[in-house]
Amino acid sequence: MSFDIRHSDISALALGSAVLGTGGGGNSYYGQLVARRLLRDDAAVHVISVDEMDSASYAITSAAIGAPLVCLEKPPSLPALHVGLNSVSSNLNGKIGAFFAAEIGGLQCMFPLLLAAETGKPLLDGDAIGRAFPELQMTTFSIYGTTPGLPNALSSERGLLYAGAPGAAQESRERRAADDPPGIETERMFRKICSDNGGLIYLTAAFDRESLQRTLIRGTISLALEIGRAVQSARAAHRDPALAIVEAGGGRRFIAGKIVDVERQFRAGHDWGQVRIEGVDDDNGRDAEISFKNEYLILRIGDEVALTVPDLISLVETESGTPVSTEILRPGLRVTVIGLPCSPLMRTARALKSVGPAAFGYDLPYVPLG
Amino acid sequence: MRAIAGIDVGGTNTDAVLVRGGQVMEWAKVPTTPDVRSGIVDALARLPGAAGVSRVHIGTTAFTNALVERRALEPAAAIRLGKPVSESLPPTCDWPDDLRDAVDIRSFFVSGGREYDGRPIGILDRAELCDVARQLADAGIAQVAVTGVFGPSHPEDEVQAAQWLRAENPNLHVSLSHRIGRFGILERENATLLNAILQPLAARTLAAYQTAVGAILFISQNDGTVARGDVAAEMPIFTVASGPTNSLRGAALLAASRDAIVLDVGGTTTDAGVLHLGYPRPAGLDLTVAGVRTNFRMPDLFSIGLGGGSLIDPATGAVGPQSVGFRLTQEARVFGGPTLTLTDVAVAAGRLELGDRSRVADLDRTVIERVDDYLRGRLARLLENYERVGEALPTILVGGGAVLIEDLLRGLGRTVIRPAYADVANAYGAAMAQVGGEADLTFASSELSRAEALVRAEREAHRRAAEAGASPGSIITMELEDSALSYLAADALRVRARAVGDIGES
Repeated sequence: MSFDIRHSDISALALGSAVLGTGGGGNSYYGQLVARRLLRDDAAVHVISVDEMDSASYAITSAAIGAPLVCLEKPPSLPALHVGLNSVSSNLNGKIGAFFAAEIGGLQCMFPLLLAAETGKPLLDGDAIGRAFPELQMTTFSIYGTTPGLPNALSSERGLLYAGAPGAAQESRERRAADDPPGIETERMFRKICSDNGGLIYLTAAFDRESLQRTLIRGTISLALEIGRAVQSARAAHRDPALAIVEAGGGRRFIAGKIVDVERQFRAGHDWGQVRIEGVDDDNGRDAEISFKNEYLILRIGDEVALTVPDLISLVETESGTPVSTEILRPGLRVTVIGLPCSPLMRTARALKSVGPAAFGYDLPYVPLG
Repeated sequence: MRAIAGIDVGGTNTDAVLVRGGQVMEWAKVPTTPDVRSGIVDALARLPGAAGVSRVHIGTTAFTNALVERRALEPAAAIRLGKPVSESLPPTCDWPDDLRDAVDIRSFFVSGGREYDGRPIGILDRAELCDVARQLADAGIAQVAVTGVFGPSHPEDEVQAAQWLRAENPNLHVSLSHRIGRFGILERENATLLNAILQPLAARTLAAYQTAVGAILFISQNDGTVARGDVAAEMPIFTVASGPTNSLRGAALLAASRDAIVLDVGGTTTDAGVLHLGYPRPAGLDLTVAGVRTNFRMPDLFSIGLGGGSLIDPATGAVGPQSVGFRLTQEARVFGGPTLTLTDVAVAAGRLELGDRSRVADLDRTVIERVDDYLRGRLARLLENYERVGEALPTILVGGGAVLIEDLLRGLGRTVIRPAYADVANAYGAAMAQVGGEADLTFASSELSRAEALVRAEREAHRRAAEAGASPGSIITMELEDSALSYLAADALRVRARAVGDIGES
């Protein structure tokens, strides 16, 4: 099923993708502004399913690697995205059929939208995470062995920083320890290039249709739009926006309360911490604790682990339904905790090694949304 | 000890207080005049002790109004350092159309700017900047906003660019982004540009204020501090939210409470804010000024539709958000009108004597109880927003509608303070303001330890407070926080510090 994204849809997409960002994924405001400049008047991006894509062409993902703070000083750069695209395209004899998001949660969904708007190619309805995660080995592509997409390229405003050619079989060059999840060496190499080059670079990578049919998490652009629109109409009708998200996303409302404590520390480049929430109104007497590492990972209600990564734990402001990122957590904020199911592709034993609680350093079993 | 005069220039009234040793000695309320200046002169003339004051602190909405009304704004140039970074988001791209139409902004992207780790994105080029300066001379534009990528942590390029621009064209007046905003290049540039387009108006206005007061002039700023008149003339953007800040600080100081919730109950809304160590807690989110997104700190204010004119639903007891507003004396039942308002319920409940009580004698007790229940729930939730667990902050009540909820708040077990002179809390807040300094820096962790980074940022904030006029012995740190730049292999640390101090007597 195909549809169009227009200027008037951008805010719903951004809102929904922030909900799916589960506290991380970066602020998409600058990406939205660039998208609004490109999608003026009647301009539209056509969104298609991966099955509708031409089987002889490739789909391109464009994503940023870097720190959210750097994104605030270096907004999305169309020229830098094109440098990566041109490098990859020249290795494919120009056979580009579509663009797609590596990560639906947060700002990443904007980059392929920008390229689709500029080139007139369609956007695939899906992504490789179905939420937000901080690292490359946490994508379905890494988990199911299509990392990182070939050919690929790293670029910035300075130009081309790295190009991975077809047949280079990146993974085979890796020296990873037996316990390391697949893709982690690529992640480390790209991260190093990122911090040596101003802290924000763009990854462009090509995937064939067969790989995508196998590993793409489908329907996540539609889902983000649906969630965003549900929040917008709940606000307009003075209905409970958290409930609207739960209905649109097939999830569950866990607790509504007030943040009473935020504890955080910065270790190894990540923002770790816990937030404690005391229930109010109907949830009076219950309390919750959420552990985060850039994203919300583990939800405890009382002493029970109620939900864990890779399922989605999202916090929204109770009154407005505005998603609450880990950066803006503060005592006193009234929030509702929502659980949404992750993709079945993220629930396999193989995936859980890369994205389950243990992958984030928690000695806990995966507790799925019941 | 010499007295200080505090003046609040509001849309309707100009209030003035004379304060000595924290005590209100005299006060006056006069109508605001179209030229503002004569209102200030008039207010001061009504304070017999004003002749001997050492300083006059003025809170003004003049610059906010100019922005909102899109008038008296000066054409300006936006110069970005960091080409080609950020070119996909040109200056003013998120401004409302009517503001873009109201003021001419020219944009230039030039070399310069820094990476997060301080490495240059491009080398600042004197010839390129001189060319811009000449183009501006030809266009007759004198106001310039310079915004460098990573300017807040690496301001060198902005400072150098300003020197070269002015060397080529001494008529240019340059606003630098690192002096105004935080990380977030577009929001910081927006604030810097707003500053630039306001600057000539500010210079004229504050020169007029200075002739009106005859003492050292200080101007209220958004963060609850004041700046010397000549400094505020350079930084008018820092005054645009000073009104609510002065009101919160004034209320807290009058109540002698450094940590408290302030409720200002008016005719249509109740505005709430919270004081921490005597200063309003800043809002965490980006803030819009006259439709333009900026990123400097503003007080975290929350408004609910609850006031003296709020409409009552007798069936549910729900109050507001609709209100009869300024038509209270025609619309409310106690004044012979047809509409049941919160004021009528308060009169019926015996909390307030106003109008003709017999006109609400028929009001059912159960309606009063329902309204009370509704208010108790609404107020409890509102106050809860501002408290940590186990914390019980006193509530300072100000505004004409304070009496409507005072008993209910006490009934909730709240400590309620209704300070004297609450009517001139704004002017008192202005009079009592200190001066401050802020620093927002990033460091590579290989360069220095976290502890050293904190010390360096704190020292910089203290230095800036002293530069703003604080007497060195009085400077204290208000905020000191660090955060890591996540998702980078090499850790980088961002440290923010804010300090305030008492104004040194000169």
